[in-house]
Amino acid sequence: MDRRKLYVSLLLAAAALLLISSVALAQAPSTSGGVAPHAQFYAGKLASSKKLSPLAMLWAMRVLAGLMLVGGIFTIGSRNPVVAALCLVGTLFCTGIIFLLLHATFIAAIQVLVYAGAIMVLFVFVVMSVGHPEREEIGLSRGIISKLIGGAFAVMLLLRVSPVYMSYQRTVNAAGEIISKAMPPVSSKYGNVEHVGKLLFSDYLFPFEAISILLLVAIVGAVMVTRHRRRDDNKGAAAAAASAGEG
Amino acid sequence: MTMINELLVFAAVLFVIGVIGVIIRRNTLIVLMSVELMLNAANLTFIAFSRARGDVLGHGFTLMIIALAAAEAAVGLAIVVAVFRSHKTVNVDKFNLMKR
Amino acid sequence: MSSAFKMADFSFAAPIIFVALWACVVLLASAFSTKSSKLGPLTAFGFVIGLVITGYFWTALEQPRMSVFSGMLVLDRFSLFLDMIFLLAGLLTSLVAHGYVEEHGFAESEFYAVIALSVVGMMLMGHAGDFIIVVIGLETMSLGVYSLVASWTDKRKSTEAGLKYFVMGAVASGFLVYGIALLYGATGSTRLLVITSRAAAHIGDPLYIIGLFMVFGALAFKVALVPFHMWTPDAYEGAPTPITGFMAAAVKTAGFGLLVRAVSTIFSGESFAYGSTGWINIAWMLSMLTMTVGNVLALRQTNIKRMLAYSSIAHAGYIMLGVIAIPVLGLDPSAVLLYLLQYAVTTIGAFGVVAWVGRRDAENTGLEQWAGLGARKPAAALAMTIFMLSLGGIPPTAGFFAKLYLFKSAMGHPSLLILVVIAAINSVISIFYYLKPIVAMYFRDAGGEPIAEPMRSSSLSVAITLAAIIVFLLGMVPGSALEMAIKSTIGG
Repeated sequence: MDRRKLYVSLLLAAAALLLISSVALAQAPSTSGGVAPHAQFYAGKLASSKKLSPLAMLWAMRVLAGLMLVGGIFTIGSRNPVVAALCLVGTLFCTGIIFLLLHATFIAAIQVLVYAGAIMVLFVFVVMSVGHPEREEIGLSRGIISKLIGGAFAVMLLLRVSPVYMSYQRTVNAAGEIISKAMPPVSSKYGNVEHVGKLLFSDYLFPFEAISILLLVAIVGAVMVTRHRRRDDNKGAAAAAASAGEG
Repeated sequence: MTMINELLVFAAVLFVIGVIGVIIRRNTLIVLMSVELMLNAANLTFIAFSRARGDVLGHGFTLMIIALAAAEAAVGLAIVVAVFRSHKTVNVDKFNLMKR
Repeated sequence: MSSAFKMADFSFAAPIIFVALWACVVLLASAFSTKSSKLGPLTAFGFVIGLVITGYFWTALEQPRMSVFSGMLVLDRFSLFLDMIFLLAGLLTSLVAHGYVEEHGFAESEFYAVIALSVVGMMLMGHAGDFIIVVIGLETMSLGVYSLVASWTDKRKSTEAGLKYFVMGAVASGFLVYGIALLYGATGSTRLLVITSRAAAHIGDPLYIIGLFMVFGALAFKVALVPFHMWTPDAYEGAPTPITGFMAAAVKTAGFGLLVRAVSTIFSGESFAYGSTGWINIAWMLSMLTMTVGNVLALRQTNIKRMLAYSSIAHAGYIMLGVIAIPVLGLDPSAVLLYLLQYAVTTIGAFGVVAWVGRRDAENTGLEQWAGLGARKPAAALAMTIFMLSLGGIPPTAGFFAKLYLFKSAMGHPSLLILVVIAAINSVISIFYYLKPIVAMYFRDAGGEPIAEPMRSSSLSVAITLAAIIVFLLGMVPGSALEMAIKSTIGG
């Protein structure tokens, strides 16, 4: 891909995202702790600290979700893994802003920090070190039957689930009975750090502790797999030297 | 409520895009990215359902899935690096040391 | 929403917490010792203590079901029995791995810590009362096992197997998580019991049904039922041999444990379980396909690891038969538990012998390399014979009794009779390939110089002896184990 074109399109995309995200930030509850004050300030300039109308929110969501899908399509469609990784960043970032529209301010921050930040840096790092673009046939080459079954299942899922989604309207009480058909009003604290934090340290205390085991096994496992080891016998050392020479 | 309805459909489409990516791509790195797309679609679905119900359970679940995605990416990329060292490629089709 | 946990809850999670802490001890010990020579036995020692703690909990548990951490963890005798299988599998695996790693010199000290941490993940799966614990436990186990499979980084087959397993497993966990999201959308909860109790309100709700099927598919992948078994032969062949045994024994047990838990809770809704598209009908087909395909493909293998991989697929089919029988016959998991226990011990023993006969730079997994082993190394040949007989279900081994008990309990229901007959035919077919190594060892001459020459490792011989003794005891005097399995009921 032409490098200049890539940079220009990336810049344009970033500008569009910033614009939309400031609008979305203005939408976030003003008293929440999830949005930094300066973000509210700049966003306030843009949207004059008024709440967006439902229609404007709907269109903001449509544009963001559209960008998200376009990013997803480019992720799986681009030949160059670097471009794919950057498109994935865009997708994840758009998802983060949609979280803001849904009042999930804390998760939005985490999404951008951890997902679009940390995980993607890891991806780009590995892509840069191993993923030089090579000729690749895109399409079903091996295991066609199982792949066709998988793809058919996914499409069927979409067709079957979408109508249900479009009519999904329920606000339920504790017993699971539907009591209202409108989107429930939420307090200004909904989804902010305090709200989610209370959940994490009450009901989710044990999962919160258990996830540390998951992270530990991931770290130790990754170290174990990537550590470069030299065998102590002569033959092994020779082989290792030979492979080092190749690399 | 229209917003959430449409958002759920968008999330389902994103999930299907991820599945298709896993199916059609040979480059392991892009397959891993497609898996991230699938997990991201699940996150979006959780948050949308959570908002539709006005509770915060989905937020907790999503937080755990983000941590899980990080852990999975770390191990997956570590294995990709190890494979690249031994095979000098990340193309799935070239991995055929073992015959059926 | 309200805070409902007490500090006392931590004491009920003691078996899990102990194993997790022991994994950290092993990690620290590896950091401070220059030689990794004592880490295998150290890990095994931790598993022994874990077994004692779990055994104490099993006997001391007063209620049929305890729910701690506001319903996140469930303690019942069923999950504690599963814990004991995991710990026993971890114990045997770390002993076998000790000899294997020393001989081939590939992995370093983290190897044992990762084994212990994956056992923690399995225990979490067994105790799960909420989908979030299911996901965390499953991923902890899987990430550990992926990296264990790929840990022999000098061997190209190992990394390749790890990658294939990882990609398939990651897709399966994506499906699992999305399925849980659908269930949450339908029922408003991720708690297994709450989802179960709201099932009646969701008859015919596509979100609910599709969500359950996605969860079922992900679990079927983990236990390698037939349309989802593609990864199994490659992953089993490429993995270091002790890890292959660990996967066949412990990962499979964890998957089936979770499946039984789901069968007794979320899958129990009338609309989902019965009818032509109910899960029982589908599982019936999968079980039949799994045992048949596994056995038929195992017949033509000449690599012992690959043959045992297909045999493990076939055994998943038999166990699935037991799982289907659980809701039909009133939630009695004893047959499945007993089968899982004997299968775990037998398969680790069998892979242990495969590890035993390999030397550095010569793994000797081909059948022709085993020719004449019976005359040269009677101990290894005898052990392999015992495990093969047990896998084939020939008396007086554990495999015979467990299979008999499983088939007999499933025969109590007319709808399962055909499946039991198919399973019995399959067991007869399977004896052909289980006899192949025995014939090679005893009745075939090596010709020239001896090819397979067992390594010397005391911990490996201890593990294989232990496994062989357990297999014999379970076959000859199964009374106490059976009684224990029968007492291990699922608490709600």
